[in-house]
Amino acid sequence: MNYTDFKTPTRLDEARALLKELGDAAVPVAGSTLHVFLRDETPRIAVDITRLGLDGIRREEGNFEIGATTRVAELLEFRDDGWVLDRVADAFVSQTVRNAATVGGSIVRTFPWSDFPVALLVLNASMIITGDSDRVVDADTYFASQPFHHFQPGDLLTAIRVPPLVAGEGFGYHKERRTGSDFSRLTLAARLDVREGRVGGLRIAAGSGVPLPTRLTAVEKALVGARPGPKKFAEAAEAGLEEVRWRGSAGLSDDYIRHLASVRIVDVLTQAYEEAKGERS
Amino acid sequence: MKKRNFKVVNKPLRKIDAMTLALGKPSYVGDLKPRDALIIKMLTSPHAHARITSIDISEAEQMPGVHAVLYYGNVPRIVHTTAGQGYPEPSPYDTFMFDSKMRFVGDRVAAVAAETEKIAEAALKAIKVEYEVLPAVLHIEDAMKEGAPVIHDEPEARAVIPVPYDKDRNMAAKVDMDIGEFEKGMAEADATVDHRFYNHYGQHCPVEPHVSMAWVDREDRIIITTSTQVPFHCRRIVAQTLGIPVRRVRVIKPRIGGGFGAKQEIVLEDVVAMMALRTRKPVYWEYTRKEEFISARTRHPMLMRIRIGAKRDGTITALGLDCLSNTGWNGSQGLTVVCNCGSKVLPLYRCEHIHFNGTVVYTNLPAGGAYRGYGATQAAFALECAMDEVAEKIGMDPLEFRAMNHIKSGDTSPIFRALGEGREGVDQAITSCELARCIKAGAREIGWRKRKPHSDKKGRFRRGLGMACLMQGSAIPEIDMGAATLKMNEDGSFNLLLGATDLGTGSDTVLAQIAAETLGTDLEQIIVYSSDTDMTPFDVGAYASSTTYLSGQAVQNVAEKVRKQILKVGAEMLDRKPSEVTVQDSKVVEKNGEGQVSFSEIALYSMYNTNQFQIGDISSKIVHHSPPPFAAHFAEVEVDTLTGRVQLIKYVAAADCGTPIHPKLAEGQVEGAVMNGITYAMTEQYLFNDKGRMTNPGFGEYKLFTLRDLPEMKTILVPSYEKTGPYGAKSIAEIGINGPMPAIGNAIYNACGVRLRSGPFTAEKVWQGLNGNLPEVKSE
Repeated sequence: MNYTDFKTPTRLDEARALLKELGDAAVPVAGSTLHVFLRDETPRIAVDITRLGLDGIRREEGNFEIGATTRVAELLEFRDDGWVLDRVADAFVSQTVRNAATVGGSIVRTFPWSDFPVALLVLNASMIITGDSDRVVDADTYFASQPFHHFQPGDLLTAIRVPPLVAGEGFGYHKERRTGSDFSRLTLAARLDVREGRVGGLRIAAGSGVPLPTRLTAVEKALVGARPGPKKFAEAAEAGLEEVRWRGSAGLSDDYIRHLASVRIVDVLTQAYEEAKGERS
Repeated sequence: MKKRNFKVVNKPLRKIDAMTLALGKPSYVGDLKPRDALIIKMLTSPHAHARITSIDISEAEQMPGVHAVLYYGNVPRIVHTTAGQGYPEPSPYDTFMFDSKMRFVGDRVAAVAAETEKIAEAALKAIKVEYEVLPAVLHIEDAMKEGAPVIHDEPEARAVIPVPYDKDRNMAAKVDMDIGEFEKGMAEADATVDHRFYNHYGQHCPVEPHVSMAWVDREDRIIITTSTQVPFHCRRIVAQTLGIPVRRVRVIKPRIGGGFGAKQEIVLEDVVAMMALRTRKPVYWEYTRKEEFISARTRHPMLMRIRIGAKRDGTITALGLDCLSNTGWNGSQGLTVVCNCGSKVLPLYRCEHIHFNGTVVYTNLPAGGAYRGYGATQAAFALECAMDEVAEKIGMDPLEFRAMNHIKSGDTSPIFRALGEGREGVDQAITSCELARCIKAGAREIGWRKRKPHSDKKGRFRRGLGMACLMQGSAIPEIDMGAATLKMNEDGSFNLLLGATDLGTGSDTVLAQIAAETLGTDLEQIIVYSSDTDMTPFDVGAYASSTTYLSGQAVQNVAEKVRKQILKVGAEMLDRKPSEVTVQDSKVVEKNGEGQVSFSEIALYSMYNTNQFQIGDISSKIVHHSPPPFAAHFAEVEVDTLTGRVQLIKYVAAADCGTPIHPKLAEGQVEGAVMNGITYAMTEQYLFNDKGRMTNPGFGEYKLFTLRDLPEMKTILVPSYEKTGPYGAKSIAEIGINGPMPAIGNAIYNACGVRLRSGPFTAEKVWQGLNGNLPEVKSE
């Protein structure tokens, strides 16, 4: 990025007004870790949004509300009943990057290997956008395409609302990587609840290994109402393999990623199921 | 020299530069850049093999802020090698500062020196180039095929020393060695193995990339400050490449942020020197990480055929190794690296019938160069995996098989004489070898006794143990030379001037310890300056595991000479004969304990009082032995048999480096080298497209292990005393990198029965092996 100026508003309305006035010439910045991946050399004005009070995690009407400029490191440290995003944060690059990167910055633009969209999809999160017309966008809609489609000049993602896990629910997460700081080669997440011995509800999603983070609805359909177990999970995974086109990266073949997905779908379902049963340590 | 209680040596003292570096004081080339330095940027070839049919630099030259543009049309065309090796170099002369022929994606087209990086980059875009694209050689196997494109078709390319070289067939070097009757040995065997292995590309990845700057002083001399392992070779080769006398070049090496062999090459210095001459301004060139991957140097990838024959009783009857080495677009270090495949690995096991061949070929890919391990890394992978395979065939524990056959103190090997570095080697007997103790200590630490065959293992996650034995060398005997100058100051301190180069290893501290031990003073009294071709004596530089052993002996020699001078003056001051006094704690003391004078008093006396002279001397050293350090490495892995993912659980390295002069630094060398080898085995991989372009030249995609990825690691230093070394020392810096490929490969086999013969050990390869679909071993 080629920044020509740096603005430091201290109020949300001030920041929004600046962004609206400057239009395409301005870019909101917080952790700035995303900029490594942006090759745009057009001169821009950076509008620092870290002084707007948009950070922190709190309970709001039963949900977790995560300020958009909350550092990923804080997600790792936070603890509360039904909180699972620490597991995603733990696999997020390195502590150095976690200290700088914000959760909002991680989802205003998505890459195939983005970590949080996969988890937020299965957690059925909502994105709160403050603009001329404030709105709440559900994860399925928000991540259906590149998120910038949801923003007009002056709009800001201000928070992410995440329903907590409740009794009988479990969460599974796996990020396939070569080293601790690697980009994901395949990310899978699942949220599953068990009612009377059957799968009551299930959201499962994949990232990396696929063009953009996406729900695996065929797996969900195959399992909802079924008795959970290894065999059933494997059958459902097969259904998931046909649903999307799996693709390899970094020297890994498409065939291998497809095979890996079949294994890891079962793994995250098993994790979630064990947690739902209260067996996960 | 006898073993004794040391006062400075063999102690983990604080590194002499520790505080400077910890406090972030300006130390590296980048810290020293003048504010008005012009920035150099290089336009590189987009084609693997092409000829420039036209080039127009006029627009770039006229851009405001641009001071010079260099290309093949306006610089001397002098053939040379980029390999920083002794003269005459064993690497072929096949490189020009600039050429109209492009030999790899990343080859130099034109360089710009401009007032800012942005102007330089804009100027590169203004250079208009047209190419005739030529067919390229992108695989080792294709290089010498009939009709293959000839990469070095220029008339000047030639070998400098009398070794086989056939540029018309893309052959950069060849070496053969046969001892006994190899085929007879194979025929006598009860069991044989015959397999191909492939060692993949790998990069040194120093934290500090290649970086150089230069300026012209008022005497019209070019002063180059550069991150180099070989300041004196650098001076010689730059002078040669520019066609100017050596006396016009001064090379200064400040602190180095890692080299690992990468900086045993003249990669930037010729251009910064030429730019300084052309612009008469300070110039600065620093490689980006992408340039470091593509245009610097790599490990020579090699296809190997290993053959071993053994009797049921464990006797090795034949040992054969054929190496086809990819030297890339130039032949730098190609011959000597492949020689080391034989000379630093095959003597490890006693055998009468030995065959070795090394053939080095040009390709249109990044160039190989010196890299920690230097051929031994490649050959150890093939040999040590094959040793396990033979042991299994004859029903022996691989540890017992190695213990029975490995070389021991008092042994020699005909290979030492037959195979040197580009020429015949030097006879030597092993005078220190504690490999047996290394094996025992390592086996105990890893829990070797619990090892079971893979066929006994069940379940999704299966653990396995593997091992490897290793040797290397300590300097290049009867070729390389080190030297040191030592002089005494008024306060009893000493200036130690070293041509040897500390590239982050701590060798300045180690050499200062040797000086202090010999002089009978404290480490704090030794002021080290290294290296500066105007100020410090000649030393070949830091390579071939030579600094402690070779430069250390030069330091020990000069310190002994200075000690004699101190004793003489001290005795005179005490009115005694030199034989009646000794040195102790920075003083000369009478042996009867009656009188003493401090080093400071001696220095003042010698400078200001009577028969004044500068206490000091210079000493140089060549060595006649290259005593190998030895090591036994052990790995424990866990394989996920559903995905093929390999988790390294524990790694044990037991090493015999003689007396560790600085035990903590020695441990650090082992751990650093092991980590280097682990990441090479597990994740490092050059990916190329079908045009020969590297597609992952950055740490985002080219993955290195970091501390959080490390397994439990245990380093065991097993002491020995090498009588030819300074205070019993041998080398330690390189050997550790050679173990992880075979030890982990053997552990994977022990875990799940999959034998990987090419790296890196990706999950996909293991998965293919588990399904019986491992592809044939070939270059990648």
